[in-house]
Amino acid sequence: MSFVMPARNNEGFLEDPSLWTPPVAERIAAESDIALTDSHWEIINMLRDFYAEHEMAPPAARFFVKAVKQHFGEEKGNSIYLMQLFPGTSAVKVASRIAGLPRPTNCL
Amino acid sequence: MERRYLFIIDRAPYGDWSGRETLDMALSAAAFDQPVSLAFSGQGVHWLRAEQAPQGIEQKTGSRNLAAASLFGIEALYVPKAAFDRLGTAFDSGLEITPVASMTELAHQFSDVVRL
Repeated sequence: MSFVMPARNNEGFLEDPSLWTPPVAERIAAESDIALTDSHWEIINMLRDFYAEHEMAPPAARFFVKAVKQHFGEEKGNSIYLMQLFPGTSAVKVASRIAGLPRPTNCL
Repeated sequence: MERRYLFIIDRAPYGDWSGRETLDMALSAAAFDQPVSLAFSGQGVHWLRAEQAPQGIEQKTGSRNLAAASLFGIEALYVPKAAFDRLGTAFDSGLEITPVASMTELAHQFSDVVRL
């Protein structure tokens, strides 16, 4: 599929979150060798809804886990599950980047 | 004694970064499972207002960020009772706000009080 990749910062986050589209998500995910499945999309969509409501991404790893737990329960709201879906130094950073959110401001 | 943190925001939102930095500190403490509350005094009570529209100055809406802070374990959002009575209906209905008669007495209930 052909599309224009929006501008990104030095950590790969979109400069303008409003330019996010699903193909953009797939491209960013592919850079981390992640092929997006329904399991990824439900987390991505939850993060995007969270951002639309609160104007911030969950600002720390444990808050990401907490938000997922509130939506989907213990089975998915745990750090092992989320790190398996979004491997890297920080699952919330990887997931936020794919979801087109700004870098979590306070990412502990 | 268990440490309990109270962060006080006493300046209007968007005028400077002090409130935003205070909120970041409060969230950081909450991320380490510390008991944390926020208090709003003086012009700081406007953080809690509904219908803030800071998009034009590329800022995040204070009250919406505070709703997230509550989800993440900030235990209470305190305002002086006088401000609560005056502004009550203007506050964001999505926030659970606790009026207090005396900010001084409130501060005495915490081991650590932070005001930038």
